[in-house]
Amino acid sequence: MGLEQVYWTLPIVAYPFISGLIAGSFIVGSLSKIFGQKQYEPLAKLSLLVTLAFILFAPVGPLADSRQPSRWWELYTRAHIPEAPMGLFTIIWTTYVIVVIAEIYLAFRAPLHQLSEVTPGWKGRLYHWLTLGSTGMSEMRLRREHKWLVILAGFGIFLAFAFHGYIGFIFGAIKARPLWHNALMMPMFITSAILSGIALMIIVYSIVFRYFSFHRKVDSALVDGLMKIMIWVLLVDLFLDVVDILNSAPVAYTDQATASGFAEIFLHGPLTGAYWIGQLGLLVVALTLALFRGIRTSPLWASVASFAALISIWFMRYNTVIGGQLQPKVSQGVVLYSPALFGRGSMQIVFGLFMFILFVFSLLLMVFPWDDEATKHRLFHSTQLTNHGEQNRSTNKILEH
Amino acid sequence: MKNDNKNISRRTFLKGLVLGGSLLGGVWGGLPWLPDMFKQRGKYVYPDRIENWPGVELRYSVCRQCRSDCGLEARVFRDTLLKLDGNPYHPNSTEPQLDYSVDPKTAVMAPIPHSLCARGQAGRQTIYDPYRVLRPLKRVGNRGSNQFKTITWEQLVSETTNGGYLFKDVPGEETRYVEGFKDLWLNGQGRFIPADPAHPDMGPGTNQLVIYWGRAEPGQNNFISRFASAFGTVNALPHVGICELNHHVATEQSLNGKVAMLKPDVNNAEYIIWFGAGIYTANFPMQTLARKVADAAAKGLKFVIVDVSAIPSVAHADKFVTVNPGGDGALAMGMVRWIIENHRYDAQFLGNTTIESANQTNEPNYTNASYLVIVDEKHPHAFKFARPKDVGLQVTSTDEDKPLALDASGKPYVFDQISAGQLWPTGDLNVQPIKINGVSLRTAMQILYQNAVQHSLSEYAQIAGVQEPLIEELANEFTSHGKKSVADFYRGAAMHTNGFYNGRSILTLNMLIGNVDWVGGYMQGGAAADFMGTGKNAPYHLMKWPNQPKKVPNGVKISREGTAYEKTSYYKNALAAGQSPFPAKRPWFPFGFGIWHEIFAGIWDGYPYPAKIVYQHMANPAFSAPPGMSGKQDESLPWFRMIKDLKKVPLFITDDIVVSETGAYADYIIPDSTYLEAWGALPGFPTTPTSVTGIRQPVVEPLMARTSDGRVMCFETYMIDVAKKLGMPGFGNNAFMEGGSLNQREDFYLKLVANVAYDSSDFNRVNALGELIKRGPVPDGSAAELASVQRWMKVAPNAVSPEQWRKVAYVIARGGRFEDYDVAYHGPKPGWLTHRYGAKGNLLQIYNENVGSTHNAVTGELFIGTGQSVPQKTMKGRLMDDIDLSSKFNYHLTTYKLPIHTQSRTMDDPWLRELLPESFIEINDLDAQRMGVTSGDTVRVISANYPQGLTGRVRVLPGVRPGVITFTNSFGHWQYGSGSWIVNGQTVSGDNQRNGGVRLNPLMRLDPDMLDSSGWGTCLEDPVGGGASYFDTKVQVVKI
Repeated sequence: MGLEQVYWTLPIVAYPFISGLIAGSFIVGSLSKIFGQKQYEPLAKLSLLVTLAFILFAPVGPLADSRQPSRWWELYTRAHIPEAPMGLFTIIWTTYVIVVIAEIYLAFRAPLHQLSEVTPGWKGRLYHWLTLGSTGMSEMRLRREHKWLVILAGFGIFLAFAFHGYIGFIFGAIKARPLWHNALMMPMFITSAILSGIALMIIVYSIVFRYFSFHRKVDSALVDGLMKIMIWVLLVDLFLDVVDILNSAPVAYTDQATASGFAEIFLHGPLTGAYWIGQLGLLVVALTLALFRGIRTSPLWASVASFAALISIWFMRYNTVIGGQLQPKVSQGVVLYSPALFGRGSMQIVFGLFMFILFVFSLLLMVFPWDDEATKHRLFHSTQLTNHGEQNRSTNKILEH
Repeated sequence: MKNDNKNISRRTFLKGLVLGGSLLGGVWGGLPWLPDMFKQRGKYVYPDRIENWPGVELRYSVCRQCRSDCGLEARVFRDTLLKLDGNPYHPNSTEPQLDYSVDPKTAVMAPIPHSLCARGQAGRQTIYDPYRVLRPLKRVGNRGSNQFKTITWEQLVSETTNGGYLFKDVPGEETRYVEGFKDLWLNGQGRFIPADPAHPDMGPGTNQLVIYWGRAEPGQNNFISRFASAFGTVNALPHVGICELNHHVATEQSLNGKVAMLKPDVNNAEYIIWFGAGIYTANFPMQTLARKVADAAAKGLKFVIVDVSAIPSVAHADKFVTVNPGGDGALAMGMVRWIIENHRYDAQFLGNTTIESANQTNEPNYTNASYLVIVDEKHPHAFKFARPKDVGLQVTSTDEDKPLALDASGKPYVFDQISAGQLWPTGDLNVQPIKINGVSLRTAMQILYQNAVQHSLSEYAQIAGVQEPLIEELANEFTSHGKKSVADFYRGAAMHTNGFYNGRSILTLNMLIGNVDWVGGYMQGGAAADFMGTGKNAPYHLMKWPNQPKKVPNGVKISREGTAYEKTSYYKNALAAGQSPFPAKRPWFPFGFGIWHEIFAGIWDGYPYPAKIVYQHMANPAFSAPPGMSGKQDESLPWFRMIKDLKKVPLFITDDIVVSETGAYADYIIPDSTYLEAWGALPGFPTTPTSVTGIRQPVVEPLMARTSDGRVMCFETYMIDVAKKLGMPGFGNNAFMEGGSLNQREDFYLKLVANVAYDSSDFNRVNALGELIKRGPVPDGSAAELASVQRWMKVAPNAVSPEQWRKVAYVIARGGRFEDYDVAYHGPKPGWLTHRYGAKGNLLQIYNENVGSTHNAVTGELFIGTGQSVPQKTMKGRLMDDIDLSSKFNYHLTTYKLPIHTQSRTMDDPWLRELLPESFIEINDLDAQRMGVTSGDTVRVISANYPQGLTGRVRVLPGVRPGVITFTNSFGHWQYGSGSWIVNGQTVSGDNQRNGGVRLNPLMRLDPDMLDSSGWGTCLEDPVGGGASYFDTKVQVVKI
């Protein structure tokens, strides 16, 4: 520990990273609903579960980094706005959690109900409990639910922008740190959020559908589509990065504090590699890979490209959160920082965070009928057993929505 | 189907694995923080690390945010300074301080206030100043161009030692050969070759290395002096002339010529008058004195503040006397007159002729009031004390040089043959001289009274700017408390052209009642340990070294201080040639020391010899001083003209922590340690009645870069390396009489600490008989205490012996060596202090024969041997009132000190700037009304010296004396980690918040009689003390 330290450590790096994944995955999941892109239909339910798993842990980064996490509830009982920009987080996050849960309810209620009727034992009771006892399956009801689903997805996209735009804002608003005080922060965070969300969904889709879906098959057209979207977002992200460099590096274009900070940290400093190779290099690698059709249509290679993009975004978060703090406020040179392996603010915490997310996601995958084909199969299978034709028809109806 | 089942079970297994593994991983990852989710409210983690946290170390050292040198306690975690507090063992910071024997482990949580002032606490921001110079810089543009490049340590040492065409890349300096240390050293012969063959008494060529400093405290200044002495220059000069010099000279010349400061025993005094002493806001040690005064005032101490504006202590004072600037001497001499005429002086005390007779009458010291002075102006020993030969008396050879006094019958004896001398040989209050063998003689008392009656009380009142009854009131009260009254003073009274006499007059008040060495009186304070090891039992004699030639250094200092003009070849040659030796080219100052303006004048005039290398340590004359010669970025001011002159200052090397206003003109800047990275041994002040020696040590690893062999870059390392390159004795191998080498600063300073540890001069508690006993060397440090020196044992394992390390540890673990609080008041007689000025037989000088028989080298007039009220004059004796007429210059310009700042160097601390971001020109409300200005208005202040004037915002304060304007003296920077400078082609822009406020120094009067034909000159100064005049400038104030 020097005179000046990196106060916000790895959990705070994980915080915008995870938040970005939520925003991105939510938007990917909404493609079919809002933008009518039916080919992304299989992603809709899966992405909702991904979103939920990640959003539950979005606030854990700052919580784990704080000195007194036991006082988390005071975020709700004390006024924080406008003094603390992070007060906004409480409102946006809480709303977002409610919206995601509501959407999950609306998206899964009907199949859960149907499954609860054909599933014996505690599993059936759990499905029934998850529907909150709602059993209505009329067309009108289903249509109304779909309509609400679309409305919520629209609102959710707005929240996704707000959620991530706000994270860009809390960095951009801090005048005391020249490398943060940058109007580009907000668009950069939003773009990189969408990019990371798409990348995540490509990987999750490829893995989950390859190994855990009914057909154990990945739709390469869908992957190709996602990859194409990713190319555009990558281009925007790269563009913003270039603008950011122009805004921060040349002395002539910026204030001295920013220029010297950028030079001392990213041009010939501790994060030169993290910036030029980790953040920008991997982005270019991902873009280059994505330009090849063969790669785009191969789930494995698409996942590799996506993984490169994800790592690049992690570096972007790291360079922002840590890099901004490496510029000293009262001393010379740069603040020294090497991430701790264990203990407070360590890799251990970040690892734990992702493990928790994986745990919750796995749990959700086991409980919720995210794979329409599997659901269809189960319902069909049980219909055959019970010769319950009506149900089969209604199953198809639901799945068409 | 079978396959399917296998698949399903494999998948289930996989799922279970993922689920279980991720849960376990998540919980493990949550271990560092999850438990905190369940902490009870209120039992949270304190965000800072307190003293007793694991890993937190307490290191004691000594502050230097001002010169008070309070003991500090640094809280350090992983070599980072977290916080600064006071040292509970140090009496400056703590009252009563912890007993010295208390285990440092107990001290960690001592439940007593141990404080540093705001300024002291902000020291953390000084060490971590982002604009510090951490590696050597070399000038690459013209002086003042602010262009530097970083150079290696080797290049720095080699270039400055060897000299050469060092600045050949700088336009205009292509062919300038710069002499380095080698060219003065001349393989060791330079110490023996006169700089000026016509005046060999001025000293050798090595004197042309002129070293001066702004702040080098004991330890560091001893190190610099060691280098200077070994090199062979007498010019290792402090800054006293721009500080409080006249106070010190007046005190020394009232005492034994060595003790420069007395202070009231505030805890026990009943009545104190402070003349211009900045109580609560300045003085020594600021926080200690303030604490004692506030406490004593609450318990009944009556005190009077005499000043030109109301300082904060006025709030607790019984009386605030606002005097004319420089009128302190008139007020004091008025009191002297009243006291003598009303016989309120202690006649028995003043009559004692020796320490023995004094002790017999229960007095701890004695005066020369009854000694006889030759007052025949034609007598060859005029104004000296009469010796037997002077009046034709025959005595034994041992008595030949003893002054005479008269016994009760009027018969002259050498003073120690009688116990009491007559004060008034020709009748009470009669100043008629007596004649012995035709020689006219007066007693010192008569001369004092003769000088006191030069003005009536009403005249004194008028000069001082007070009401006449006040003089009587103060004198009456002052003489109504026995020995428990004190009249004390500092810069406000002293830093005038008449400052020496003001001081002498104030000190005379104390002598008249004989309060020195008494509990509640005027005290010398405890003694410091013999850290230089000059005594018998010290382990290291640091003032000597092998191969040190005798009589080196020698000659006259470039400031002509410490030498009487009458003893120089200039004077003698003139007399021998039948010419008047007066006026000398520039004044000489046998009594003053550290006279900056005369250093610069000596450099400018090359008198008594030109300078070749000017080395400046921790100073900022371009900003701070001397008055009128600098203080603004205006290169027409004298100091800038001098430093820009490459012929007068061929090589200018500084060490500093930032590129300061002065550093901008340096040829080389060496990174200096802040005080938190430095060493030192700091004696206490007379304010503390017990012995104090604080030890300063680096509290964290210094931030400066390292040399290739891993030593810290600082001025000590530089001097060591230059000395080694030249082969100077006292450095490198075989550097100490006791053996051992000096290759890094710790080799020197740890020996100094060992000397402190083995000192045997201070006292321990009283024994069973109620007597004090000498303490002797400190005990061996425990294992825990040894841990406090582990880091030094690693750096310099052989600096002291293994046995000495244990004692050094005992001292460093406590931040120095301190007598216990209860030792203070155990003198051998009731009412006497433990540490007494008179304990060594010292006397007090009502009349000083050295002063009384010394000439002003410019006018040829004799100085006056007693206190005296004199008006402010130029060096040639012209009245300032006649030069700057009141009709035009109707305000008197003065300054004052804030408790949160110190001269030039604390403006880099943001915490202090937050307390007061800017400063003002302060003015009385009546004056403001008359001029039609209110607080916040801008005015222009103009002096004869600086007709273009300077502007600033006004603050109207009724406490300022009408006719006076004042400002505080730390503001108005333009480059102290502020402004911009260029290093390696890159512009560095500093923190311009440091540049706020008003600085009126350039307005301060240069002596109009001492300007040369080019208009270059020095400030007004006291002809006796040599101190700069800060408070004698008259100005015009114009609303704009």
